[in-house]
Amino acid sequence: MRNPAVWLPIAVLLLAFLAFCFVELVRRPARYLPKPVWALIVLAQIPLGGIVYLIIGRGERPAGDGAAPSPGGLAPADRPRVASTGDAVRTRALTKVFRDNVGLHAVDLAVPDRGVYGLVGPNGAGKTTLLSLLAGLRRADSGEILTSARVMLCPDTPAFEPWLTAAETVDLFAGLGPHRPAGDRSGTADTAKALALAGLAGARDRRVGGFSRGMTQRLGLAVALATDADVLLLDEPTSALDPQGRSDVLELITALGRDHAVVFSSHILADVQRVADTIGVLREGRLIYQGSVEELLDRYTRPSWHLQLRSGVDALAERLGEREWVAAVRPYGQGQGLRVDTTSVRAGETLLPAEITASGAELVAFNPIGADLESVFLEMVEVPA
Amino acid sequence: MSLWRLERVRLFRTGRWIMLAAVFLVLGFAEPLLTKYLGQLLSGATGDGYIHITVSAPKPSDGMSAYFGNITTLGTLVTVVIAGLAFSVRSNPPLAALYLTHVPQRAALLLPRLVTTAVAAAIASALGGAAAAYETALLLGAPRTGATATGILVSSLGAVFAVAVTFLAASVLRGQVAAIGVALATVFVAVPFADLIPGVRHVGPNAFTALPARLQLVGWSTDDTWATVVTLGIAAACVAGGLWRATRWEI
Repeated sequence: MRNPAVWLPIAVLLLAFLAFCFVELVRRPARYLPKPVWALIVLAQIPLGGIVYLIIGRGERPAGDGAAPSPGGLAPADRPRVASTGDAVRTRALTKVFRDNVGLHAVDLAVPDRGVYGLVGPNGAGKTTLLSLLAGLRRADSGEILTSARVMLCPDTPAFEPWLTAAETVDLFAGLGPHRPAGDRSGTADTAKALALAGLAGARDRRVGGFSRGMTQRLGLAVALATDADVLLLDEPTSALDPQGRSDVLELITALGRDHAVVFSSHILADVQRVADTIGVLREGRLIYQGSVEELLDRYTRPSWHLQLRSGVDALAERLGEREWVAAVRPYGQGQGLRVDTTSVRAGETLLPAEITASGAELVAFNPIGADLESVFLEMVEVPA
Repeated sequence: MSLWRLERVRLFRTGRWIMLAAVFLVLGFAEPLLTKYLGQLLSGATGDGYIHITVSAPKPSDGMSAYFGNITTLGTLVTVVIAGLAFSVRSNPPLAALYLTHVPQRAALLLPRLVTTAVAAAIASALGGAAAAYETALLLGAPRTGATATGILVSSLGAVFAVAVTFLAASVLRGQVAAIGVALATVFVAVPFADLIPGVRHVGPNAFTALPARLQLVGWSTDDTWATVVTLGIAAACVAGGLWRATRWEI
């Protein structure tokens, strides 16, 4: 044992391994157990304690104070009105049924090859299942998907390898398809541009493991920008963003829709109304509407007014309920308000003021309600009792 | 960044190469040392009592056999865990969705993971064997060159076999823990129990994993050739089965 050639290699090896474990323990947060406990485990069971720590106990470093997303470098963009030349994706009687008859039933989807397609529906309507089928991540029970486009799915909470930087992540996914010729150096520029557009230029060299949920969603969009997919399936891409971030991302989706087919699923109907050219409404696995947003609003909205009254609410509501040109009367706000739906705009504009006067109610405000997707949606997806 | 580079980066940035190297090199350096001083360690443990343990003077083959014996358990354990972490693509569905909608074929995603992990495990095993041979030569005398070199090669192939079994388990099971558990059960329970099947005992994977230690005492036989062929054939079948199963994945 006195010969250093015998004990020196193993001593150096163990010391180097211990040093590595302790450096990692100091630099990174620990998972499952406090750091002192991990330190004891590492010391007590050399080298197995260190191996166990490295496999399960080592956390990811947070992004740090400066990791907030930089403002998105987007120019203000109007809604895209790009002439569509055909469909990027069509489905025929697409069906995927899970237990209790839940799933998708005979869905005939037509996604134009340019523009934003908003996919809406209540929880469990089949939106995510439909997106998974379109992306090729699930197999349909019957029906078919007709497309020659390259499809990419960005999940609602995308996940990435935590030990890659943002730039490496975008570069990785941008280079995965069979498209970029060997020696093509444009990838670096594409990556930088995509990160800048997604508002992550300041975080390009930070590891993804420490990103917030909002930053991860932005990174998902940067990946979508850098890839050359023809159809982008974005599942709830704004669900984790603050109002400013949401606005930036909606602008980004609008811009993407100019030269891609973007299918955008969301629960936030105001977002869908803002960016979508075409809309599909799913209810209990069935596509109950597909067409332009304007057509949907025209077809389903009724003229409505909000009345704010100082007194006489009940008498007015009773009186209006007996008129055949009134479609519905509902309380609005807290106590002294009514929402009145009429069968025509003319009836609301001419007959409604006369009824208010005749009832003796004291009117404070009389406002027409703009057509909004949310009220149409609620009416459409209401399941009959 | 290509998927091949991604796997090399994964190995280094996650510190997995350190885990592999630590286990194999520590065992390589430590086992001949323990073999050399086993008698003194046991005498010290019994104290001044009435028990006397006599250990015969260790030979070079004892040092190498001790190393090969231990890496079939500890080395395989760490190899399976690291392989299971790399192969369980579906344990993270959002990441799997991104990968699978970007790669032209699923094999393009899985083969770099498989090859990188198998090569890393084989290199770690070979380095551990070299460390054991070095330490044995210093403490116990030079081991037989042919048997040691063959043993190192066979033990490296044994690591590749464990990687292939884990690959199949991870392609069938979604979770990391389940895949690693089933792979460990296969390697440590099913493979030894397969020896109960008539005719398998001398030509199965269990005989193959015991081969490096046995070669220190006896020469290569026809059964050893069969054990090698059978084990590598099973490993190839595991890889083929895993790749086929991956084409049926749903996320």
